[in-house]
Amino acid sequence: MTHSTTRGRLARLGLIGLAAGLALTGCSTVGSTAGGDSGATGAADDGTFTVGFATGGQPDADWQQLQGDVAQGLAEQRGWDFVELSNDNSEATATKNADIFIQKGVDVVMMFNGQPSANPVIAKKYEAAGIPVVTFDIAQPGWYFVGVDNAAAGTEGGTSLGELAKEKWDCKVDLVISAEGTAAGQINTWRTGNARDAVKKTCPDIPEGNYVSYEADGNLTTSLANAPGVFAAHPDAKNILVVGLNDQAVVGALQAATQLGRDGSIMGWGQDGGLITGDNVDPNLVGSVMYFLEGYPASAFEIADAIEAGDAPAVKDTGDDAAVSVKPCPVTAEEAASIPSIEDRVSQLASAPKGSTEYDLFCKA
Amino acid sequence: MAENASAPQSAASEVALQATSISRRYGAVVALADASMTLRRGEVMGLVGDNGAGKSTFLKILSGAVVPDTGSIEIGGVEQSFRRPSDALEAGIETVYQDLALVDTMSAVQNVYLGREELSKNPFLRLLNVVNDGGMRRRSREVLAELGVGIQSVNVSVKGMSGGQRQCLAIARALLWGRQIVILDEPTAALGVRESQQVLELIGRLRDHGVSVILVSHNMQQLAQVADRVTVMRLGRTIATRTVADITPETIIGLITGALPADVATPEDSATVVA
Amino acid sequence: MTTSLITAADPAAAPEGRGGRRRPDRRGPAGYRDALSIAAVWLVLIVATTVVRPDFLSSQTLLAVTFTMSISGILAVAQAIIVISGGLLDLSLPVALVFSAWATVTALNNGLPTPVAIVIGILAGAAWGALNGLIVVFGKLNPIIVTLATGFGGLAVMLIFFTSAQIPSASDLRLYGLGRFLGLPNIFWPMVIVIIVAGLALHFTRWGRHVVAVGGNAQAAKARGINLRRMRLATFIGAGAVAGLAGVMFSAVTPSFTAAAGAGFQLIVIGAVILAGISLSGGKGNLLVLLLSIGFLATIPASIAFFGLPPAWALVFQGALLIIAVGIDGYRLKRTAR
Ligand SMILES: Nc1ncnc2c1ncn2[C@@H]1O[C@H](COP(=O)(O)OP(=O)(O)OP(=O)(O)O)[C@@H](O)[C@H]1O
Ligand SMILES: [Mg+2]
Repeated sequence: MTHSTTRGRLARLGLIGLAAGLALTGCSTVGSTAGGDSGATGAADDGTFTVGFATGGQPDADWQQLQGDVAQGLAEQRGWDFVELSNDNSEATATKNADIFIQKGVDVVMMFNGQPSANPVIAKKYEAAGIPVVTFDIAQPGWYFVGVDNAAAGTEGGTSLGELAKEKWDCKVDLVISAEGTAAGQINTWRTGNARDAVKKTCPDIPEGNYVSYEADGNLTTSLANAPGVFAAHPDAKNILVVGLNDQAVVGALQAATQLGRDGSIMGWGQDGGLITGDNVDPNLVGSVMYFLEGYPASAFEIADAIEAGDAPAVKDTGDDAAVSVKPCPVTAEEAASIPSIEDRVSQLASAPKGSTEYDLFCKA
Repeated sequence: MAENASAPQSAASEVALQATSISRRYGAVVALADASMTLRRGEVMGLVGDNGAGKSTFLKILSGAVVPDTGSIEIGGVEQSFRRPSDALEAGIETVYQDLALVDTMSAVQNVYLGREELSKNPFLRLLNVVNDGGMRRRSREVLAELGVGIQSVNVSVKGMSGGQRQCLAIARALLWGRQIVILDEPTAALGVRESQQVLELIGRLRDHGVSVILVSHNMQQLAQVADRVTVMRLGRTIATRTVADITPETIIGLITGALPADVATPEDSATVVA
Repeated sequence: MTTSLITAADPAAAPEGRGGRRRPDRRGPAGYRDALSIAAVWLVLIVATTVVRPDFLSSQTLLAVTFTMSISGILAVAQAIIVISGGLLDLSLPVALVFSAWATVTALNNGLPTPVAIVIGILAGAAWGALNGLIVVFGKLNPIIVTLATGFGGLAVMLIFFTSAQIPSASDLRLYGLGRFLGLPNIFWPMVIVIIVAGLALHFTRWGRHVVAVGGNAQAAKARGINLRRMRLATFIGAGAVAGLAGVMFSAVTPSFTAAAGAGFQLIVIGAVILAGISLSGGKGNLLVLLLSIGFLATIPASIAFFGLPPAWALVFQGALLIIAVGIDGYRLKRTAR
């Protein structure tokens, strides 16, 4: 996912910085243990079902730590033992954490690993120990895959934008801009490509020549550098739609339109919800698609429930065929404003009835 | 000191520089031991010695690049203490290093004035640190012409210039800045005959302008042609000083190799000295 | 004992003028040829695009190109100062940019007046440069390694303090970032001024002469009494201040940015500097050529859009550009080494 890839890269850079002796973060691996089992050696012997949870530990992603908090709440709700470690965004730590979980005899492991190159090794260890693994966003053969349904995210975002164009402009669209992030590969195809296709489907009369793409590389800076040329190359386009890999890419195009005085009649629909909340939302970013990344554990616990009941589901380990596809939530800018903050979402999820997901609780609530 | 009795050809016997009992060790190696030299105004002093005799070390101390362990340097009778090259520059000693110390990417005039750029006469521009390029160009053209240094243009980068031209430029810089003492370490080492000749002529003209020159060379013919006196070094010591007109190149070679006795005692067999 | 002392027959006579065969440098004023060749390449690109799409020559294109030039242009000046002064490359400039932008918007968000916030942004960049300079000078370390490390470390530290930073949407600075002057984006003009002022300073001030000399031959500069440490430190601080200005401008046109937002500038800035003939070996460079080179690079994305090429071409161009730039630098070095 873009979240994982870009943030992974950033944080990796950050980590080298740590190694260079310039950073301030500590490196405690053990986050917390629940159920009064404060750091005791083996929870395996008392027969209680135990969840091992490894957070990503990337410094700029608060949702990763919040995933751990959500998982802890869900474990408490079930009366399970819970062991949380942080992968510290490091291959070495992630591998060491696997040994600790195995030694503690956990019954299932859930993890996000922003340094997936270590995953094959980790997978071997868990396989030998016979421990099932749920992975978030980054697929590994043999592990239950839980991730957002990017294909649906693209389609739903594009459909929402197309419907707005139909309603406001009667589908008279002069230009549909795709702010691509080629390096994200399949995810870009799902999010950007499906959004474009969905606009096409909703407004079938937009001429093929009105669809253009440019490289935004999933960040505002590059998008803002490359987008102005796109507007210049289509000087007569008035009604303009923008879709893209993420909010940053789309907002880059919208800002470029403002710079060139082309923002009179433009609407963008982003992905990932990164820039759809806060005080400074671009007025032309009419919507985005939220994934509620911090709520992934709710989906992972559906699998854990089945395993605990002795009825482990078949492993589905790819993005195309996921064990649980997290439902994306397309929101308009107004809707986004009424969605609770990430901290509030976490605490509400903790007190929600068993089996609730954030989508159920917050999407179109 | 090992002063030769005979008077120098130059009428002025005023002392420009007096270095006394300079010593410098590098760990166990005694590079310089009790070296002394009296340089008169307007004379060319040759400095000779075998490889590793300490010539370069001596020059580096006189130019502030190396700080001596002991010893004193006086210029015009005033005691000096050089901690860095700029101290020696300020005291009026210009050193032309073996690697010339020219900036290839800069023009002749920029090199000549490097570190001493004239500022604009306009007080406002002067405040902005703006240089007086026109003035510097004019003056360097004048000086180069006066010294007979032939270069096409002072505005062209020195990278394309010949070794002789570069050497001359580096030497001419001394005169332009009104230096009284110029130190040259093997200025003709990398040059052909004709270019060497240009440089030797330039050295002669420096002397005519009243500048004192210390010249390190391995070439006896050249020394015979341009030097007034020669100081011989052996194993870190200044062992003899002779007036060139009075002796033959063979005498100097004898002093260098040890075939002729030194004027001072030398610890030829000292264990700490690495020849 | 050796006999190398005696050069009776003068063996040096044979290789007459070992340096004498050096070709005279006929390049005229520094970088004149670089300027012509970049201007020519740029012109070819403009003509080719215009042939395919006559509407390329429009005020929209002018706006697009000048806007894209603005921030990378200022940042390229900072990089050029480092390179010319012999500091090899400053790989931490993207971090300096974001750090300054963050300082600026933080000042604005805390209610400080706009001029104060701008000064804070520039000082933040200068402080960043000072940090690099101190490590390079007193650690006697390779600037590329140092700035690589401070770049990573700085990013990591910034990630601790903020995930995203926003300029107040109604602030004067934000409005400035959205405005125009003489038909071109406001932020284009500071870039032009910085290039002109820095270019003039490099060529016509004593300070500039010393920067070039230290970059061209540090030992020679030292022998002329130039304090190398002081110069190196000063150039890092100066370049940092310029990067700080880039950060201020960046904050004005970017409503929300992350700590890593500067990364997109790294390649284009280094590419522009090398393309402009500012050799990585230091001591040489013309900022007006740099302006041409930035203009050329900023035209490429617009041309791609006009040609209607698929977006991956932008990446292809970027990669090709860097290879060409490095190749040119290597070729220039080889040519001058002879
Ligand atoms: N930086 C240094 N570190 C250690 N030893 C040194 C250093 N510089 C010079 N020496 C030693 O001091 C002695 C004198 O060296 P110096 O370079 O002064 O000789 P020289 O007369 O200039 O020789 P040459 O004719 O080869 O140039 C030599 O033994 C040399 O190895
Ligand atoms: Mg020597």
